[in-house]
Amino acid sequence: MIRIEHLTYTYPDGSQPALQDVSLQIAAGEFVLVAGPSGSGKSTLLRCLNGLVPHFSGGQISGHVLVGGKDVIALGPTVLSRYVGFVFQSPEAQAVLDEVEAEIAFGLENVGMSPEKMRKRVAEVLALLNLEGVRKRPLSTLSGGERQRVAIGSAIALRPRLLVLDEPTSQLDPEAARQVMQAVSRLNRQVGLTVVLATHRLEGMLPYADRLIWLEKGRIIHNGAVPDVITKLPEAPPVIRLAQKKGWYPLPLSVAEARQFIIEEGRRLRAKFVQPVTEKLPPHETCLLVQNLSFGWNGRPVLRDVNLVVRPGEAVALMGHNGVGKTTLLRCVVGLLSPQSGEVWVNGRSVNGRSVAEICRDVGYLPQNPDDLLFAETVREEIAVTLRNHGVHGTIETIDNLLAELGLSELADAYPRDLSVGQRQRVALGTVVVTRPGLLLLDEPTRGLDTEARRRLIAIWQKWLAEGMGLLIVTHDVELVARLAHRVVILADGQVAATGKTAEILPHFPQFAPQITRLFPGQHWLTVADALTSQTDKEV
Amino acid sequence: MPIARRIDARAWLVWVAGMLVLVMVARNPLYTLLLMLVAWWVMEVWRQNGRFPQLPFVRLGVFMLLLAALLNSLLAHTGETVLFRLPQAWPWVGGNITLEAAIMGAANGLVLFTLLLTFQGFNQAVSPGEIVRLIPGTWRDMGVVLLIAITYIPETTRQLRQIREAQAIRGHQLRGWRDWRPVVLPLLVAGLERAMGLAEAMVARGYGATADAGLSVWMQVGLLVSLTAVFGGWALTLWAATAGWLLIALGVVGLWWLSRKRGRRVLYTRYHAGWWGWPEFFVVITAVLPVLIILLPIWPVDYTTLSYTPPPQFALPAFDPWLGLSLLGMATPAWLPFILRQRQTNDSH
Repeated sequence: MIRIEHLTYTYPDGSQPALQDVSLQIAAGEFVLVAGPSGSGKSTLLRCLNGLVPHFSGGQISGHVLVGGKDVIALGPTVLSRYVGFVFQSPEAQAVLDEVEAEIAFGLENVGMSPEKMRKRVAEVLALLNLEGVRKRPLSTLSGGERQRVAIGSAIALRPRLLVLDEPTSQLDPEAARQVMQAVSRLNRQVGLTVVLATHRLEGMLPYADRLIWLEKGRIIHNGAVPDVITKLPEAPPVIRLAQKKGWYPLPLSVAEARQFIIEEGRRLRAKFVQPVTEKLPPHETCLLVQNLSFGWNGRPVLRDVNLVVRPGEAVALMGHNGVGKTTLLRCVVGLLSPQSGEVWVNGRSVNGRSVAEICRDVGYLPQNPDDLLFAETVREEIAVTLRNHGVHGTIETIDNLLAELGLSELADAYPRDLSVGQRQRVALGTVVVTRPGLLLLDEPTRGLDTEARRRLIAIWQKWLAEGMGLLIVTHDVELVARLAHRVVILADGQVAATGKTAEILPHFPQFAPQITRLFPGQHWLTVADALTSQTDKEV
Repeated sequence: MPIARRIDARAWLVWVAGMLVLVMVARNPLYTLLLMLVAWWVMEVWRQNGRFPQLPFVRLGVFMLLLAALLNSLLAHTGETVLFRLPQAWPWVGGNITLEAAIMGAANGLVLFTLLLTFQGFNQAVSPGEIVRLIPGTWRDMGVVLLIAITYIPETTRQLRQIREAQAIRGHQLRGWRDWRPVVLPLLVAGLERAMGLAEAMVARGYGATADAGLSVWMQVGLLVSLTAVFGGWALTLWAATAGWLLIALGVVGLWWLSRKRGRRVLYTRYHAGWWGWPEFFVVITAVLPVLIILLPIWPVDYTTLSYTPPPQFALPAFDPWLGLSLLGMATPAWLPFILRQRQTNDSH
């Protein structure tokens, strides 16, 4: 299906090739995962499969790319659109029309398909992706998972032979991500579509794939069957690491597969559920106290009687499905939204009557998109601007110390927008913590980051936690929660569904639980280390 | 309650055109007020579609009326009921500030507000995609660009709010024009990134795959000749009106023919062929009828009530109930959904 020979590509103004001497063959009907750190060339490789690179991006290319016998470099993306369906990272950014079935039909209209044939094709796609129930709905009313499935439907409407997906689940909650992956898997198994999918996060993807390709600095480092490659990677998903330590063979790729080994070892999987409790503390002992907070939007309640506590030196994860009100809660805390009722206390002081700027001197808030914060010419200037905005006279040492803490000293004079995603995230973090607030609010802070960038951020947050800072993290990254959060608050339908220690709460909510917790339900283990330490002492 | 059935975009266009004509021709504030209430009702009923964010219309209406009244009373000094005087030496605004000028201004504000409500109702009821599908295949590329421009507005507004919030949490405040840099720069970059992303997505989905309808040399010459005829004819009307209009007509026919010729070469089909039934027919009839009544002075109604000029002395505008009743025909899109829903309920039973 795909044959790539000695492909080398350099972006216009690129100092180094984004892809270097890449050779690859993928058979028809294969499901291939492409993984690797940020900037390793995953997206570039994918764009070479439909000719967006070099036809759309420009730059210099050498070598050959053949898809279904078609010369991609010679034909370009418009011709290839009939053979290659492409799904991008953000479902919002790729929608042209505003209604589900019209959006799916857009590509068919472009090729002049007859209306009857088009209606039949749209119906097929809707059925294949379980979208019949939303066919007449405006896209803006769909959930993230539904929107991404519509994007997939739009891509496969022309019946391509190859489906290419560039991090299709990175912006989705775990449940929505699972739905999207099941839909892709169905297309692969039932329709025989060849699938090439790029991702940062391999958890939850491995069971669907036949092959895994690992890229670094534009070169293919590993290429082979998933069990062969996964063990060679710098940081494999927790289930794989545990299986390696335990010597399980054949290597289980999912929690379901790993469970078989536990059963075979004769261990009993008992649930020891603990009833979640709501804690009540006086404001002065907390860095964040939210009391009976309610908020509505256009007459629709978004948050209802939310209570929440973050103590100094404590990390609390706020979890829940997309659109449940997590970000709204953070915006209420910093005064961007005025709650209808209830009160918010930060470091023992009520935020009532205080301006956003005043509150944010005590609270660092890192929004979902770090790029919204960046506009200055240099990293140092970017951080200095916050100090000036707050009227704080920080010295150059203040800024340089923070840059050193964030591992950005060498980039102090760089243009922030030229940096990698991980570096930009750290600069954005610097801009909101330069006033040294006692509380830090993080909204999806690891989204789109590779393992290394994520590891560096976790190390920084752990240091700040040790120094007494409180952290409230909104995230779908369950492994981050497992490693960092002391407590978890689960929001459902605008209300707190459960709150308590991470290890006690997550087993109740498998959709938000890390792999190890799902593998050993009721055991209160979150990480591979937890499982290994506990298992050596006692029978599970 | 959800809308039972949408109304075809072509019928909506007729309704909007009817509203525009009526609002512009019937310059009596009482008729304008009636049309404003009709437009508001339509907008409220179709708001359930939830396509566009709601604006604070009561406040907006009051603001538009007050602003128009203020500006008109400052700039037009006609009328005999003097409210107060501004020094004559003040340029533009100096002189008598009269009640009549203020009322005329408010009446103009009401016209503008009614137009705003009309378009808001139309936006609620018809998706940008439906509008673009009405554009002939010849102008398909332009139509898609237009569609993207329309859908970009709410997205850009959302992004602007997001960036302003992100800067606000850094303590940023907007005081002078220089303070806009932290907002404008990320907005520009994000807008460009979004545009590039969407362009990539469209190309990847075959946009332009078969629209090989570039202009051949003879078509380019034809286009040039037709345009020259239109503009030349327009210039000629200054000296020889008949010849000028004839030339313009020839140019327009040439442009239409070229457009048709090119349209045939564009391989493009429509998924939604549109739907035309009795509701559409009804909307069109009830929108055209009031326009005919007002434009053709053959009906037994008082046409003098259509205009209203308060100066020199304020007096209440006259009102013909039959004319008012005919304007209520424009409210068909507001009550029609109730009938459709009723029929749907009966059918399901």
